[in-house]
Amino acid sequence: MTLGIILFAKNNSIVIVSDKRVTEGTYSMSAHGDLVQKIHKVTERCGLTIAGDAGTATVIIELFLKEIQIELTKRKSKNLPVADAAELLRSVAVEHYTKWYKDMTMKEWVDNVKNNVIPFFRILLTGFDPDDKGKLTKRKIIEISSMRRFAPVNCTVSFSTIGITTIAQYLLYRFYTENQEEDVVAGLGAFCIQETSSQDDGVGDEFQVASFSQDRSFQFYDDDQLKKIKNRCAELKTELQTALFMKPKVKEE
Amino acid sequence: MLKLQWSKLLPLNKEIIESIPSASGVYRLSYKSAEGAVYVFFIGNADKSLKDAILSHLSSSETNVCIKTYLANLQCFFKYAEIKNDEERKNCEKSLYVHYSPKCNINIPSGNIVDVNFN
Repeated sequence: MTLGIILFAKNNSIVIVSDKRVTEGTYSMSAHGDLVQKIHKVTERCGLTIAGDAGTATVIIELFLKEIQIELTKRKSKNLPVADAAELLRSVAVEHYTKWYKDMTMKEWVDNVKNNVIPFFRILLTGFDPDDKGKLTKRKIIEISSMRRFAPVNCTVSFSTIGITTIAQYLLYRFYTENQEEDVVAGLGAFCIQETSSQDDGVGDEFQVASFSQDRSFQFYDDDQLKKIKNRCAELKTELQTALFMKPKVKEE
Repeated sequence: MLKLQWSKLLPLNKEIIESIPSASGVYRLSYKSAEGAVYVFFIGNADKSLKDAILSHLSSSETNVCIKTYLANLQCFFKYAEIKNDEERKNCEKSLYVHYSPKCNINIPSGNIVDVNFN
Protein backbone atom coordinates (compact mmCIF):
# COMPACT_ATOMS: atom_id res chain seq x y z
CA MET A 1 0.00 0.00 0.00
CA THR A 2 1.06 3.56 -0.58
CA LEU A 3 0.31 7.22 -0.37
CA GLY A 4 1.81 9.40 -3.09
CA ILE A 5 1.05 13.09 -3.46
CA ILE A 6 1.93 15.73 -6.05
CA LEU A 7 1.33 19.40 -5.20
CA PHE A 8 1.96 22.69 -6.93
CA ALA A 9 3.69 25.42 -4.90
CA LYS A 10 4.77 29.03 -5.26
CA ASN A 11 7.12 30.15 -8.07
CA ASN A 12 5.86 27.50 -10.50
CA SER A 13 7.39 24.69 -8.45
CA ILE A 14 6.14 21.13 -8.08
CA VAL A 15 6.55 18.94 -5.00
CA ILE A 16 6.30 15.13 -4.98
CA VAL A 17 5.91 13.34 -1.64
CA SER A 18 5.54 9.62 -1.06
CA ASP A 19 5.84 7.06 1.70
CA LYS A 20 8.35 4.21 1.30
CA ARG A 21 6.30 1.29 2.61
CA VAL A 22 6.27 -2.15 1.10
CA THR A 23 3.63 -4.56 2.39
CA GLU A 24 3.62 -8.33 2.05
CA GLY A 25 0.79 -10.58 3.14
CA THR A 26 -2.96 -10.50 3.58
CA TYR A 27 -5.44 -8.26 5.39
CA SER A 28 -5.32 -10.54 8.45
CA MET A 29 -1.53 -10.88 8.56
CA SER A 30 0.97 -8.65 6.86
CA ALA A 31 4.59 -7.53 7.20
CA HIS A 32 5.92 -4.07 6.43
CA GLY A 33 9.18 -2.40 5.52
CA ASP A 34 9.93 1.23 4.69
CA LEU A 35 12.37 0.60 1.88
CA VAL A 36 10.83 1.34 -1.49
CA GLN A 37 11.77 4.18 -3.79
CA LYS A 38 8.40 5.35 -5.09
CA ILE A 39 9.47 8.68 -6.57
CA HIS A 40 11.39 8.64 -9.84
CA LYS A 41 13.08 11.38 -11.81
CA VAL A 42 12.03 11.34 -15.49
CA THR A 43 13.90 14.45 -16.69
CA GLU A 44 15.20 17.60 -14.97
CA ARG A 45 11.66 19.00 -15.21
CA CYS A 46 9.54 15.88 -14.88
CA GLY A 47 8.97 13.28 -12.17
CA LEU A 48 6.56 10.59 -11.09
CA THR A 49 5.34 8.59 -8.13
CA ILE A 50 3.84 5.09 -8.08
CA ALA A 51 1.21 3.12 -6.17
CA GLY A 52 0.13 -0.50 -6.43
CA ASP A 53 2.32 -3.38 -7.61
CA ALA A 54 5.70 -1.70 -7.11
CA GLY A 55 7.66 -4.54 -8.74
CA THR A 56 5.78 -4.39 -12.04
CA ALA A 57 5.62 -0.59 -11.96
CA THR A 58 9.39 -0.39 -11.48
CA VAL A 59 10.03 -2.67 -14.49
CA ILE A 60 7.76 -0.53 -16.67
CA ILE A 61 9.39 2.67 -15.37
CA GLU A 62 12.89 1.37 -16.18
CA LEU A 63 11.77 0.62 -19.74
CA PHE A 64 10.03 4.00 -19.94
CA LEU A 65 13.13 5.90 -18.72
CA LYS A 66 15.21 4.24 -21.47
CA GLU A 67 12.66 5.39 -24.04
CA ILE A 68 12.76 8.89 -22.53
CA GLN A 69 16.53 9.04 -23.03
CA ILE A 70 16.14 7.96 -26.67
CA GLU A 71 13.43 10.60 -27.18
CA LEU A 72 15.55 13.36 -25.59
CA THR A 73 18.47 12.41 -27.82
CA LYS A 74 16.22 12.49 -30.88
CA ARG A 75 14.90 15.92 -29.92
CA LYS A 76 18.34 17.17 -28.85
CA SER A 77 16.73 18.47 -25.69
CA LYS A 78 17.03 17.97 -21.92
CA ASN A 79 13.27 18.13 -21.40
CA LEU A 80 10.04 17.23 -23.08
CA PRO A 81 6.40 18.15 -22.48
CA VAL A 82 4.78 16.09 -19.75
CA ALA A 83 1.92 15.15 -22.12
CA ASP A 84 4.50 13.62 -24.49
CA ALA A 85 6.13 11.77 -21.59
CA ALA A 86 2.70 10.43 -20.57
CA GLU A 87 2.04 9.17 -24.09
CA LEU A 88 5.46 7.48 -24.15
CA LEU A 89 4.72 5.84 -20.80
CA ARG A 90 1.34 4.61 -22.05
CA SER A 91 2.91 3.21 -25.18
CA VAL A 92 5.71 1.38 -23.27
CA ALA A 93 3.30 0.00 -20.67
CA VAL A 94 0.69 -1.23 -23.19
CA GLU A 95 3.40 -2.77 -25.39
CA HIS A 96 4.89 -4.76 -22.51
CA TYR A 97 1.59 -5.72 -20.90
CA THR A 98 0.46 -7.03 -24.29
CA LYS A 99 3.74 -8.91 -24.72
CA TRP A 100 3.56 -10.41 -21.23
CA TYR A 101 -0.16 -11.07 -20.88
CA LYS A 102 -1.34 -11.34 -24.56
CA ASP A 103 -3.67 -8.99 -26.40
CA MET A 104 -7.03 -8.49 -24.69
CA THR A 105 -10.28 -6.69 -25.23
CA MET A 106 -10.81 -3.73 -22.92
CA LYS A 107 -13.36 -5.73 -20.91
CA GLU A 108 -10.95 -8.66 -20.47
CA TRP A 109 -8.20 -6.22 -19.53
CA VAL A 110 -10.27 -4.50 -16.82
CA ASP A 111 -11.61 -7.83 -15.48
CA ASN A 112 -8.08 -9.23 -15.31
CA VAL A 113 -6.80 -6.19 -13.40
CA LYS A 114 -9.79 -6.28 -11.03
CA ASN A 115 -9.28 -10.00 -10.40
CA ASN A 116 -5.51 -9.61 -9.85
CA VAL A 117 -4.77 -11.75 -12.93
CA ILE A 118 -2.60 -8.96 -14.31
CA PRO A 119 -0.89 -6.44 -12.02
CA PHE A 120 -2.53 -3.20 -10.96
CA PHE A 121 -0.56 -0.01 -10.48
CA ARG A 122 -1.05 3.69 -10.89
CA ILE A 123 1.38 6.45 -11.70
CA LEU A 124 1.14 10.18 -11.12
CA LEU A 125 3.34 11.91 -13.66
CA THR A 126 4.08 15.63 -13.39
CA GLY A 127 6.00 18.25 -15.31
CA PHE A 128 5.43 21.10 -17.70
CA ASP A 129 3.57 21.50 -20.98
CA PRO A 130 4.30 24.27 -23.51
CA ASP A 131 2.61 27.65 -23.23
CA ASP A 132 1.48 29.72 -26.26
CA LYS A 133 5.12 30.62 -26.97
CA GLY A 134 6.23 26.99 -26.85
CA LYS A 135 8.05 27.35 -23.51
CA LEU A 136 7.57 24.59 -20.94
CA THR A 137 5.83 26.65 -18.24
CA LYS A 138 2.37 25.09 -17.75
CA ARG A 139 2.38 22.70 -14.81
CA LYS A 140 0.39 19.53 -15.22
CA ILE A 141 -0.32 16.33 -13.30
CA ILE A 142 -1.33 13.25 -15.31
CA GLU A 143 -2.64 10.02 -13.83
CA ILE A 144 -1.93 6.75 -15.60
CA SER A 145 -3.52 3.54 -14.36
CA SER A 146 -3.21 -0.06 -15.53
CA MET A 147 -6.98 -0.27 -14.88
CA ARG A 148 -7.63 2.09 -17.80
CA ARG A 149 -5.03 0.47 -20.05
CA PHE A 150 -2.64 3.34 -19.19
CA ALA A 151 -4.72 6.01 -20.92
CA PRO A 152 -3.50 9.38 -19.54
CA VAL A 153 -5.98 11.39 -17.45
CA ASN A 154 -5.29 15.05 -16.66
CA CYS A 155 -5.78 16.16 -13.06
CA THR A 156 -7.89 19.28 -12.98
CA VAL A 157 -6.79 20.68 -9.60
CA SER A 158 -3.37 21.73 -8.29
CA PHE A 159 -2.70 18.54 -6.41
CA SER A 160 -3.35 14.85 -6.79
CA THR A 161 -3.01 11.76 -4.65
CA ILE A 162 -2.72 8.01 -5.26
CA GLY A 163 -2.95 5.05 -2.91
CA ILE A 164 -4.75 5.36 0.44
CA THR A 165 -5.97 8.87 -0.15
CA THR A 166 -8.98 9.59 2.08
CA ILE A 167 -7.22 11.41 4.94
CA ALA A 168 -4.84 13.20 2.57
CA GLN A 169 -7.70 14.38 0.37
CA TYR A 170 -9.49 15.78 3.42
CA LEU A 171 -6.38 17.55 4.74
CA LEU A 172 -5.48 18.96 1.33
CA TYR A 173 -8.97 20.25 0.55
CA ARG A 174 -8.99 21.79 4.04
CA PHE A 175 -5.52 23.37 4.26
CA TYR A 176 -3.80 23.46 0.86
CA THR A 177 -3.62 26.55 -1.31
CA GLU A 178 -1.61 26.68 -4.50
CA ASN A 179 0.50 29.75 -3.80
CA GLN A 180 2.11 28.56 -0.60
CA GLU A 181 5.90 28.37 -0.22
CA GLU A 182 7.45 25.09 -1.30
CA ASP A 183 8.56 24.10 2.22
CA VAL A 184 5.02 24.66 3.53
CA VAL A 185 3.55 22.54 0.75
CA ALA A 186 6.16 19.79 1.29
CA GLY A 187 5.38 19.88 5.02
CA LEU A 188 1.66 19.53 4.37
CA GLY A 189 2.27 16.61 1.99
CA ALA A 190 4.47 14.88 4.57
CA PHE A 191 1.87 15.59 7.26
CA CYS A 192 -0.77 13.87 5.11
CA ILE A 193 1.48 10.79 4.96
CA GLN A 194 2.18 10.77 8.70
CA GLU A 195 -1.50 11.27 9.59
CA THR A 196 -2.53 8.46 7.21
CA SER A 197 0.22 6.26 8.64
CA SER A 198 -1.10 6.89 12.17
CA GLN A 199 -4.46 5.43 11.08
CA ASP A 200 -3.50 2.81 8.49
CA ASP A 201 -0.51 0.45 8.62
CA GLY A 202 -0.55 0.27 4.83
CA VAL A 203 1.16 3.66 4.69
CA GLY A 204 4.56 4.13 6.36
CA ASP A 205 5.52 7.24 8.32
CA GLU A 206 8.91 7.36 6.59
CA PHE A 207 8.66 9.52 3.50
CA GLN A 208 10.69 10.90 0.63
CA VAL A 209 10.29 14.26 -1.07
CA ALA A 210 11.47 15.63 -4.41
CA SER A 211 10.83 18.93 -6.12
CA PHE A 212 11.61 20.95 -9.21
CA SER A 213 10.41 24.09 -10.89
CA GLN A 214 10.55 25.87 -14.19
CA ASP A 215 13.95 27.27 -13.12
CA ARG A 216 15.25 24.52 -10.87
CA SER A 217 16.17 20.92 -11.70
CA PHE A 218 14.61 17.84 -10.17
CA GLN A 219 16.13 17.16 -6.76
CA PHE A 220 15.45 14.78 -3.89
CA TYR A 221 15.38 16.36 -0.42
CA ASP A 222 18.44 15.47 1.67
CA ASP A 223 18.40 14.18 5.27
CA ASP A 224 18.58 17.69 6.79
CA GLN A 225 15.60 18.88 4.74
CA LEU A 226 13.62 15.75 5.66
CA LYS A 227 14.47 16.24 9.36
CA LYS A 228 13.20 19.81 9.19
CA ILE A 229 9.97 18.63 7.57
CA LYS A 230 9.52 15.93 10.25
CA ASN A 231 9.90 18.66 12.91
CA ARG A 232 7.34 20.78 11.11
CA CYS A 233 4.95 17.80 11.05
CA ALA A 234 5.37 17.39 14.82
CA GLU A 235 4.61 21.10 15.29
CA LEU A 236 1.58 20.93 13.03
CA LYS A 237 0.28 17.88 14.89
CA THR A 238 0.76 19.69 18.22
CA GLU A 239 -0.92 22.85 16.94
CA LEU A 240 -3.93 20.85 15.74
CA GLN A 241 -4.11 18.76 18.92
CA THR A 242 -4.05 21.88 21.09
CA ALA A 243 -6.21 24.03 18.82
CA LEU A 244 -9.38 23.24 20.72
CA PHE A 245 -7.94 24.14 24.13
CA MET A 246 -9.54 27.38 25.26
CA LYS A 247 -7.25 30.30 25.94
CA PRO A 248 -8.26 32.40 28.97
CA LYS A 249 -10.52 35.29 27.95
CA VAL A 250 -10.40 38.75 29.50
CA LYS A 251 -13.69 40.55 30.09
CA GLU A 252 -14.05 44.10 28.80
CA GLU A 253 -15.15 45.32 32.29
CA MET B 1 12.60 47.53 36.54
CA LEU B 2 12.67 44.05 38.05
CA LYS B 3 16.05 42.62 37.05
CA LEU B 4 15.97 38.83 36.83
CA GLN B 5 18.87 36.39 36.48
CA TRP B 6 17.59 33.98 33.85
CA SER B 7 19.15 30.56 33.43
CA LYS B 8 20.36 29.36 30.04
CA LEU B 9 17.85 27.61 27.79
CA LEU B 10 17.97 24.03 29.13
CA PRO B 11 16.61 20.77 27.68
CA LEU B 12 13.48 19.70 29.53
CA ASN B 13 14.58 16.35 30.92
CA LYS B 14 14.71 14.83 34.37
CA GLU B 15 18.52 14.82 34.73
CA ILE B 16 18.79 18.53 33.95
CA ILE B 17 15.85 19.51 36.15
CA GLU B 18 17.35 17.55 39.08
CA SER B 19 20.35 19.87 38.93
CA ILE B 20 18.45 23.17 39.34
CA PRO B 21 17.77 24.88 42.69
CA SER B 22 14.88 24.05 44.98
CA ALA B 23 14.23 27.79 45.44
CA SER B 24 11.04 29.64 44.48
CA GLY B 25 10.86 31.47 41.16
CA VAL B 26 9.28 31.71 37.73
CA TYR B 27 9.92 29.54 34.69
CA ARG B 28 8.83 29.12 31.12
CA LEU B 29 8.49 26.00 28.98
CA SER B 30 9.26 26.22 25.27
CA TYR B 31 9.80 24.13 22.15
CA LYS B 32 12.14 24.37 19.21
CA SER B 33 10.39 24.87 15.87
CA ALA B 34 11.48 23.37 12.54
CA GLU B 35 13.07 26.73 11.65
CA GLY B 36 15.14 26.61 14.85
CA ALA B 37 13.29 29.38 16.69
CA VAL B 38 12.17 28.65 20.25
CA TYR B 39 8.58 29.43 21.28
CA VAL B 40 7.14 29.61 24.79
CA PHE B 41 4.04 27.54 25.49
CA PHE B 42 3.76 27.78 29.30
CA ILE B 43 4.64 30.22 32.08
CA GLY B 44 4.90 28.84 35.61
CA ASN B 45 5.17 30.22 39.13
CA ALA B 46 6.95 27.98 41.63
CA ASP B 47 6.09 29.30 45.08
CA LYS B 48 8.17 26.65 46.85
CA SER B 49 10.59 24.82 44.55
CA LEU B 50 11.45 25.40 40.90
CA LYS B 51 12.85 21.89 40.71
CA ASP B 52 9.65 20.23 42.00
CA ALA B 53 7.35 22.46 39.93
CA ILE B 54 9.17 21.76 36.66
CA LEU B 55 9.60 18.05 37.44
CA SER B 56 5.85 17.77 38.03
CA HIS B 57 5.26 18.54 34.35
CA LEU B 58 7.14 15.36 33.42
CA SER B 59 5.29 13.16 35.90
CA SER B 60 2.23 11.04 35.13
CA SER B 61 0.22 13.25 37.50
CA GLU B 62 0.48 16.23 35.10
CA THR B 63 -3.12 17.23 34.39
CA ASN B 64 -2.53 19.95 31.81
CA VAL B 65 -3.31 18.11 28.54
CA CYS B 66 -1.88 20.96 26.48
CA ILE B 67 1.54 20.67 28.19
CA LYS B 68 1.43 16.87 27.87
CA THR B 69 0.80 17.20 24.12
CA TYR B 70 3.77 19.53 23.62
CA LEU B 71 6.04 17.27 25.69
CA ALA B 72 4.92 14.17 23.77
CA ASN B 73 5.37 15.64 20.29
CA LEU B 74 8.22 18.15 20.42
CA GLN B 75 11.73 18.80 21.66
CA CYS B 76 11.11 20.99 24.73
CA PHE B 77 13.23 23.35 26.82
CA PHE B 78 12.93 25.58 29.89
CA LYS B 79 14.38 28.68 31.48
CA TYR B 80 13.98 29.78 35.07
CA ALA B 81 14.74 32.72 37.36
CA GLU B 82 14.77 32.65 41.15
CA ILE B 83 12.47 35.16 42.90
CA LYS B 84 11.92 34.96 46.67
CA ASN B 85 9.33 37.72 47.12
CA ASP B 86 5.74 36.47 46.56
CA GLU B 87 4.39 39.67 45.06
CA GLU B 88 7.36 40.14 42.75
CA ARG B 89 6.99 36.56 41.58
CA LYS B 90 3.27 36.97 40.81
CA ASN B 91 3.91 40.24 38.99
CA CYS B 92 6.67 38.65 37.03
CA GLU B 93 4.48 35.67 36.11
CA LYS B 94 1.77 38.03 34.84
CA SER B 95 4.27 40.08 32.82
CA LEU B 96 5.73 36.97 31.21
CA TYR B 97 2.21 35.71 30.47
CA VAL B 98 1.26 38.96 28.74
CA HIS B 99 4.53 39.05 26.80
CA TYR B 100 4.55 35.44 25.55
CA SER B 101 0.80 34.72 25.39
CA PRO B 102 1.52 31.03 26.09
CA LYS B 103 -0.85 28.43 24.66
CA CYS B 104 -1.00 26.15 27.72
CA ASN B 105 -1.73 28.54 30.62
CA ILE B 106 -5.28 27.70 31.61
CA ASN B 107 -5.70 30.52 34.16
CA ILE B 108 -4.72 34.16 33.85
CA PRO B 109 -2.06 34.98 36.48
CA SER B 110 -3.26 37.37 39.17
CA GLY B 111 -0.30 39.77 39.47
CA ASN B 112 0.28 43.20 37.95
CA ILE B 113 2.24 43.93 34.82
CA VAL B 114 5.71 45.20 35.66
CA ASP B 115 8.80 46.07 33.68
CA VAL B 116 10.95 42.93 33.57
CA ASN B 117 13.80 41.54 31.49
CA PHE B 118 13.02 38.38 29.47
CA ASN B 119 16.56 37.11 28.96
